Amino acid sequence: MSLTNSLLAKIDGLVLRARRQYLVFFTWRSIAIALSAFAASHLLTDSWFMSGLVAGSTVLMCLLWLFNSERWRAFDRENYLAFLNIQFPQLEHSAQLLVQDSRSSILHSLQSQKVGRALSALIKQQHHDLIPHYQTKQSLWACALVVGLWLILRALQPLLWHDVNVKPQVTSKSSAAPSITNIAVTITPPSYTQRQETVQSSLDLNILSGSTVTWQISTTDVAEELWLKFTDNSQHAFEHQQGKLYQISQTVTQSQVYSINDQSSSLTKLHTIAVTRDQAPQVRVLSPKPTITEFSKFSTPLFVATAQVSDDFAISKVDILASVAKGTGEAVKFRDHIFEFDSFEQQGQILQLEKSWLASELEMEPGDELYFTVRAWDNKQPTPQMSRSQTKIFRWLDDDRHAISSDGVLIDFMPDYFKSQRQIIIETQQLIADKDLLTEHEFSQTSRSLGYSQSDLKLKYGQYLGDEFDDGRGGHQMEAGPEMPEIHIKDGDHNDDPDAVIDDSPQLAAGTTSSNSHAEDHHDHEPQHANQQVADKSGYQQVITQYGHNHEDTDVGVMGAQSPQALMKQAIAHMWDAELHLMLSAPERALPYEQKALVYLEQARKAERVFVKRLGFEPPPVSEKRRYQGDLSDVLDYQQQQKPTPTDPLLDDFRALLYLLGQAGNELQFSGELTKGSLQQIERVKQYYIKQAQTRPAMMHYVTSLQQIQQQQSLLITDCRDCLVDLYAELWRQLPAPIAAPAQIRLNYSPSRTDVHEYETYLRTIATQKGQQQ
Amino acid sequence: MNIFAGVEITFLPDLAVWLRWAFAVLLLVCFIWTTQHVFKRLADKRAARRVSIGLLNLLVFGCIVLLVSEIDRTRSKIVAATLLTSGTNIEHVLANHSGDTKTFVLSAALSSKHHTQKLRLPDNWHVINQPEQLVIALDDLQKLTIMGDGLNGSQLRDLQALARSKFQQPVAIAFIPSEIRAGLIDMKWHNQLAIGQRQQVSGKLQLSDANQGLVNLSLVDPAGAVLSSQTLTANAPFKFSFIAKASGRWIYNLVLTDAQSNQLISREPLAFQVSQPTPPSVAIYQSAPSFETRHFKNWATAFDTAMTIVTQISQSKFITQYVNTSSDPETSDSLHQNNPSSQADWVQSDVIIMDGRAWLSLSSAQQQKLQQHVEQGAGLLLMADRQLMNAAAETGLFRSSGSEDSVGAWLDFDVRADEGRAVQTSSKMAGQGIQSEKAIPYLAAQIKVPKAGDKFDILVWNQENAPMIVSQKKGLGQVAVSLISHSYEWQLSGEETFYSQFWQRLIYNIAPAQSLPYWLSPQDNEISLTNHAQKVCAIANVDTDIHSHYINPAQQKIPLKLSAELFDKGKMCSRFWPLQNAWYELRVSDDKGTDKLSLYSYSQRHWQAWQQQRKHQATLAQAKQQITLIPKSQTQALSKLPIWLLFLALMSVLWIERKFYS
Repeated sequence: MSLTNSLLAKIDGLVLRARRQYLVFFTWRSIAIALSAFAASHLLTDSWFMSGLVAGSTVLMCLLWLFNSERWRAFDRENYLAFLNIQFPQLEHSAQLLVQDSRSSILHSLQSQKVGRALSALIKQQHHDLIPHYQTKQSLWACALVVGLWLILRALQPLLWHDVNVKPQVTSKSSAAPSITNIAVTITPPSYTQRQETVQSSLDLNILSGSTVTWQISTTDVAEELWLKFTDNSQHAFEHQQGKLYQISQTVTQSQVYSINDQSSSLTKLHTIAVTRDQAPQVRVLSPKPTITEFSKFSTPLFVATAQVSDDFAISKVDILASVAKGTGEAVKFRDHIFEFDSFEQQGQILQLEKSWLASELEMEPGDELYFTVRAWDNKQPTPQMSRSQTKIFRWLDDDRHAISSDGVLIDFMPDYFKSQRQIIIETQQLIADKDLLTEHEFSQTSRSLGYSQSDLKLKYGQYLGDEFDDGRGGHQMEAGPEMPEIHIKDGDHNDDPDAVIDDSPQLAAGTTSSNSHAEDHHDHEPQHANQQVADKSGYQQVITQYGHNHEDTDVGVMGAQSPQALMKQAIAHMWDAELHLMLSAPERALPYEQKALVYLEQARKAERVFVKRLGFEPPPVSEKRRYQGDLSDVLDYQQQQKPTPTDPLLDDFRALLYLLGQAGNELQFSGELTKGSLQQIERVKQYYIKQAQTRPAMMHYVTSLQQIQQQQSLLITDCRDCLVDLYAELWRQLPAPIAAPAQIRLNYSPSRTDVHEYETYLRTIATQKGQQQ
Repeated sequence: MNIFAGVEITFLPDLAVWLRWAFAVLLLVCFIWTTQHVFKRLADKRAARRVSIGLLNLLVFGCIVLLVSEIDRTRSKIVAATLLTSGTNIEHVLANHSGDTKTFVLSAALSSKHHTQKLRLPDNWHVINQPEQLVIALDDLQKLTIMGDGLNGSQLRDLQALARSKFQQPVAIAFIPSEIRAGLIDMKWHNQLAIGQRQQVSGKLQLSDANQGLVNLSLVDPAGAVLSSQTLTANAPFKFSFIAKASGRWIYNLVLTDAQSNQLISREPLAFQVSQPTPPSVAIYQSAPSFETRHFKNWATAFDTAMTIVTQISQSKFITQYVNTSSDPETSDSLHQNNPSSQADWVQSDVIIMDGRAWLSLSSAQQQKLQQHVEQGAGLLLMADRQLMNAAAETGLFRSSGSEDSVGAWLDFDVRADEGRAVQTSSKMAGQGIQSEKAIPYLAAQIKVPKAGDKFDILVWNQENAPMIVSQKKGLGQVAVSLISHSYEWQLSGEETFYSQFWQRLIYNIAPAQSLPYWLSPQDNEISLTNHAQKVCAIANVDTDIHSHYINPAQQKIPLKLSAELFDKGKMCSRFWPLQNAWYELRVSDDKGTDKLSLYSYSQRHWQAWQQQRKHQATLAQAKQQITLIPKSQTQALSKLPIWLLFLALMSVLWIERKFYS
């Protein structure tokens, strides 16, 4: 009995060993499966954590499955004895008898003993077949194969991705965050431009407005989300393509500063998108050159107009807007017509156009006038841009009403729509007074509009004086001035303002023309100024040159001081200056010149043989009934509580930021940390520059600097020390001329000093005594 | 040479006289006794030997006497020391020094080169940080030879003050100046400005003897743009004038370059503060609305000036406008009475502007009240008009030189019509060096000032140098009369800056002094240097509780103790010691207000030529002062080492003689 019991104990031990052996075998198989899962997961997600989690889970799942499986439960004594029966013939398939009750029969007992002895012998021999054999080699090979495959795929991963082979431009800021390894920026210009798309690796972009930009980046690790973050805090998520490849497309119409961020930090420094706007077409009337072309009463007028139109891309439409004016004064009537050109010739991007009319075709009679302007549209989509030439006038005279004085000066020639000099002065004064009420854009627009009026008036006078600039024909280089909204003071960028409102009416256009018919028409002074203009990046000099009266003086000097011609010339000289300042949006500076011009015009009017049409306002007479009444009952005492005119808060922001930058630059221990108020000021200044950058993309440089300050919340930005210097210089330039403030003296002695008081009294006494003696 | 001259021997100096005698007798007895034994022992020897040993014995006793005595030598001489300041060629001085003079080296004189080379100084050379330290270190000092750039006035004053208290007399200074440095000297600029005030920088170019060529001097603004440039020769004066664009602390630069090679010679910072001043309250009382006052109001109120404008709109009707202030509720009702000029709310303003007709509309009692207000410190600006001139004789406002009736006139100058003169002219402001471009109309009149002096101040001239605005001191206040009533035309013709400066100057000259407390700006020709004491003064009301401190570049508040000046109790001064090349902000406050002053502390390497010039001037002036030097007798104890050696030698000889030859 004791033998059987000890044998059974040994059998149980062997069962346990067999089970353990199987567990090892099964674990290796699980590992092989888990490794496969890990490799697949890592290749897909590029995340060690995720892959580890997947692998661990796989092993766990396998083991759970194992412990719940029939196979695992099959490891018991009976099955084992059956296994022994198969393995060892000497047990005579009777090993199960060892666990059965042997008292039932003698044979059973004898066989049991025999089997027990045989089995004991086997156990004593430690026969190697006592335990089932499981092949773990296959599992190990499978593991090695999976690992090898995984390594190969990992090595080949970048090649399998995409044909992006540009070098990285950026590095990650944080070691924890993924860093960018490859960048490809594809710029697709608007289709109407017919320009090819370009690919670049730099994140600083210079593009046409409306271009579609596609950023394609790859990172070292898979990021959960990547964002394209702009200065206006808008952000757009990258699309995850595959593996570590991300892509986003945006249509860009405004200059911006942006960075690529993940959820926690910025993966790149700030980069700029400088947007160049599509230029409006340029229209230039080649003939007639004078603004007014006259035909005598008895001629048969044939009006011929030739024009040249060009655009940076393509012209979609050109026409002529013409108005026939009949009658005079309040009875004047206008009839508008739109004409197509008779012929056109394409020379590269320039269109040469021609049109001729017979006056009779337009139902014109002597005394009528034809105002016409050439309009051109480009192919910009969705809305084409339109430009218009200066208005030209054909006049069919009905009699010889224009008197010509003996010295050839003719002053009574102003068409009705020309603003008088006095009117320009009044409107300039009004503009100055309304400065606080107008937006900056409105103010400069009005000022330039007055500048054009002044230009027209000057041309008219100059035309009849035989001014050298317009060769007596009125076609002056001033007409070749830049389009109204394009006067750039700071950065020399020359972009059109497509939003400029253009009135189609030729009557108004004569006063406020936005002529584009110029550039090439600048006469031979241009070459000698060319170098200066190149050196002068501000563009200021260009405006001065274009509008300034910097030619040699005309023959004013040889004329008598009181000569009407000399007076008129002087008036025109002042008109030049007035126009210059109006064009520079400085009506305050223009006003004195306008006034001087008027003074000379008045003097010319009074001079001998000069006749000037009466100008100005004549007040209605006050009747005797209204005067000397002495009725003051409506006049009352009253009090007013007034508020001072608010100052421009942006200037205060500029000053505050300058002060802070000065501190950061000069003081040794300035931390550079910014308060909430300072950050708000910086935001306002940044918004100003963002606005500026829409027409002057170079301003984005300052936006970038301000954005960096905001991001770091410190003035001591690490990666761009020069940015602060540039920003400081720019802010300093923005400050206007200083206005002195009321101040009080600071005595260097205390006012309470009795000796000072006594000395004052003494001086007064002495002075009084001296006065009495005298 | 008498080497024993002045030598004094005191036998056993510390003992009582009887003890000295006792020791003397003991020594004598010992000497006699030993001599006797010597002669006795050597009785059979030769006489020469006996005498020799006797003499040696005598010498030994002589040595003993000298060793127990105090031996002093007294000499008369001037007690002198040498101070090496910055600019001294230390290597040259080291090579030639005699070694018996005490030498002090200011740490500023040691360049970084000296520090890196670890220059070894003689034992009797001492490195000090401040010149006063040498007075502390020495027991006596009569003459100090200063070498190098010298000391500035403040350092010399401190040194002499300490010397007087310690040595009872000042130290005579001898000065060996250093070589002249090339750079800018005689510099002068305003350290503090109100916004819009013109900064005027002047100075002179100093070149070394070796370099006398042309140099370019450029004024560069904080943004790095060159504002103005001049080409200068040696000793040529220069002047720049500009207006800082905004309030704040600004550092402009004066850049000196060689005209030929364009090589940088020096770049000197020009720091100053532009502040937004506290404006005075202003009242306008006018007989009719005018563009002049309207534009003035727009300008002044934009800077928070409290203004009251009373305008007569009919014979007895007025509009009263308040800007940045409100009407007094107690008097607002009474303003509807016939004449608001009797009310106090506008009459009490710091500055009152009136046209001639408005002045004439006041009753004599009202005029007197206004005059009293002016004499108590207010400013009055009268815009002259024809009515005022016509009625001047009757009102007794102006003194007419030809009329005896006008002796008691309130103002000591005359304004009379002058129909013949031009009525349109440009104007220039006295002392500002600026002139308007636009000519504006003015009253056809002339102001006859008897004699320009302290009493009168001509504030604005016309193109023909005739006075346009004259002010006169009345009591503590000022009265100004102006012939200009169309200044707004400057505003409209693009000369806003000139317009604002015009009115700033007028207000500045007639308004009462700023309310207390306030800091006094440092002198225009003074700068504050790092590691140098800077005297700062404030004008304050001593009856109030005054607090002051300064804020250093690390934004730490450091208290500043102000103490009243001897002759002006209201002027309170202190010294502060800037340690860094940076801006410092000083604040003073009392119950009524606070004032701030920003001071820039320049580094020692800035303005070296100017610093050298100032130090040379101050030290030379000090060296020229005649101080009688009486040589001082100085007792010096002689060293006894030779006597000890002699004593030991003699004793050895005597021992050998006795041991081996007896």
